[in-house]
Amino acid sequence: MKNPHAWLKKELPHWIQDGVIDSEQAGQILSRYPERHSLSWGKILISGFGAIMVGLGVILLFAYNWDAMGRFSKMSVILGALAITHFFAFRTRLGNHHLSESLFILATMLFGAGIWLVAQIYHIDEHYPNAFLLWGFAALLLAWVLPSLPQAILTVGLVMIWHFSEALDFDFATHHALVLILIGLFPLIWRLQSPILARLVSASFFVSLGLATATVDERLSASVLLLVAACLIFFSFWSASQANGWFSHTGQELAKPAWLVFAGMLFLMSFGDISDDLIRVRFNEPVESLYFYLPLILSQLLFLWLMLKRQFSIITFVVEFSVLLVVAPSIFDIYPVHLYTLIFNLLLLGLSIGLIYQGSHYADARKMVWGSLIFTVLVFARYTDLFDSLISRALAFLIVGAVLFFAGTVLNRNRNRDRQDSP
Amino acid sequence: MKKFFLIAAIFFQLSALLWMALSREYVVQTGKVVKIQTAPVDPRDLFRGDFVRLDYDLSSLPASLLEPHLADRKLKKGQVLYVTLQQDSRELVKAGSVSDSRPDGNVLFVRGRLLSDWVRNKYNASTLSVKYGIEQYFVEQGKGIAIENRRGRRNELQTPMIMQVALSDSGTAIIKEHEWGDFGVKLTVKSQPERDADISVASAVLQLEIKNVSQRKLTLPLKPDTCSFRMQSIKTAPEKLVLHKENCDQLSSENEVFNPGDSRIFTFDLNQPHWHVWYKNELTPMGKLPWGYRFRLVYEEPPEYLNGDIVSQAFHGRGQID
Repeated sequence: MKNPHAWLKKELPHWIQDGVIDSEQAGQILSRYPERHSLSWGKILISGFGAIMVGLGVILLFAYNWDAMGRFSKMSVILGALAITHFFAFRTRLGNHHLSESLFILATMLFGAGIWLVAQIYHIDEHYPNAFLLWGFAALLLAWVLPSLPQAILTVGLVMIWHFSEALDFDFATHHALVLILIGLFPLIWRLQSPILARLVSASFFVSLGLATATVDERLSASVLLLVAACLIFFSFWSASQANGWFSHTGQELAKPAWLVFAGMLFLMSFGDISDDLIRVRFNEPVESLYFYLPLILSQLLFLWLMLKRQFSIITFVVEFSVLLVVAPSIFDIYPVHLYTLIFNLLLLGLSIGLIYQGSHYADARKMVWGSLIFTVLVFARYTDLFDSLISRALAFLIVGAVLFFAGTVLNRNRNRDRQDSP
Repeated sequence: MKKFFLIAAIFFQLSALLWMALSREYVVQTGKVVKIQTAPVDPRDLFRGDFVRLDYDLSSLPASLLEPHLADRKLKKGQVLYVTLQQDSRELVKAGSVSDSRPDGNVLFVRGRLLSDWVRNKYNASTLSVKYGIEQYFVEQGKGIAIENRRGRRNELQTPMIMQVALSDSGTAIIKEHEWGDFGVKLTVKSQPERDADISVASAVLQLEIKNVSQRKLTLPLKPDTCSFRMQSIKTAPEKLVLHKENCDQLSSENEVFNPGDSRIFTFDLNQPHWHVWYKNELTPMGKLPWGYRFRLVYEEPPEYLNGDIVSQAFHGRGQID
């Protein structure tokens, strides 16, 4: 069921009326299924993207740069348009929420157009990423005060453009991007209660972290990404047991990109020559130690907490084992490359088989797909490394095919069983 | 309360734009106006979309201009630098000294940022690449091509563009508008040396054509032969060299009238001994110098009424023209 909260909200009064449960129990049941603010893609497409397109149109319109139009006229047009759009957005915010939201998005786009227009009028050739930072900051302010999901999504996009342009065009590490995401966007997830924003912000944090650490030293990225992913995964394990349904749900959403990063890093480490380059961090600058030890300490505290509260499973230990495995060469400067490569391959294999098993056993197609994907990618990656003869290669593919076919059959059988069991 | 914050966020957007525009408008209205001539460069790289990319002599400064306390320091990319400006009677400016602190007193200066890390060493060209935020000139769509045509292409007559720039008290530079130089310049190679040529013919023979591209009659004081021009090393050369032809100082100038469209050609035989350069303790033909040693020909005595300097494209002694 996509939105059990809405369904329960409709059904619970009848249950109370029929004496099945009392109102206190109804409240407790309802709190277990938090209200999901589903994103209406139709509305987003029509109003949000519409506003963005109009804003881009304005930017291009002014890019023509008519000589006949003086700089005061140009500024008056853009400032007037911005003020009028804000005025109508403000006036309609109580009566027509969707129209108001679209107008505010349009205003933020006009603000961006204004920045480029001023740069054009006064021939400013300064550090251009700053324009995206200022634009993103304006969107973030509105995302907080309205509050508005489209403004938040626009902020994430602008912050990413800012960070990419700093890192790729100017080779700046821009650690501030991480601070901005941590302080400005992570708390916004709770304010807006949006699972999509949780995933988006988590993903953007990993992208920013990768960019910032790679600009400092490429060797730093892999270890730090894996450590931060472990932190979020442990956090999701902890939040899963919390009574607050929304908190628990958000923890899972934040961990989705973390799982992707975690599996990706394990996959990279499964190549001996790549892991040999990546795994040993050289602590040349204090910032490298900070990036490395801060998530390491945090992940270990979270792991200890899970242990103390007895909230662990086999996956908790797999993640912890991976963390210790990755940090050991940097701390002790010992790296038995062949042993490590073997262990990383076994970890990935175990992860994929575990996911396939869970997916097929509990009729969870998503886990099944992820498990199969990791398993297939692993076999393809090892295709040239391990299998010399055509017979071995053929055998490997036959086994992969057979495993996936078998798992698929079990998944179908269990799904049918669940359907028959359900009332 | 929520209403207050919403109004504050809206106010932020409006005031940020206003502040950006007004702070620049203030400089345009009240700043000291100077003229900076753009350097003749290969125009193929000038346009991206509808703005003109501008390169100035100020963009590449010889390290000899650095104040003594900076000369042996490592300067990081992005470092703020203050370049003092020397203005001539035609309002054209040239770089004086380079410092990391704001000049005191009533000194004319512009603020820029270093484009790449710099450290003095024997391999490093002793040039500082500095950006001032005035390297883009936005024009109406389609007008960029007209400017490109007027500036000229490689091996064609090139007309210098002069930017009118307003400077704030803090050294911020803002382009006001552009003007065109009175004289167009065309540098061509008359003859180029063979690959393993004898030392006496190791350099090129160049021809410099100057043409009155303005709409007015101009008078130019000229000394006989090529004595009105000096040879000046640029950018990538490890040291600043200024070469003159011998005995030119004793010669007097005679006014030559250039009606609109009139031109004159000067020939420079770089194999002549007076163009030889002291390199590794011996007099060396310009054609035998490393590639980093590039030069421009500069007209020495521009009259006050002349808009823009007469400066050739950069070239190497073997005849390679930028």
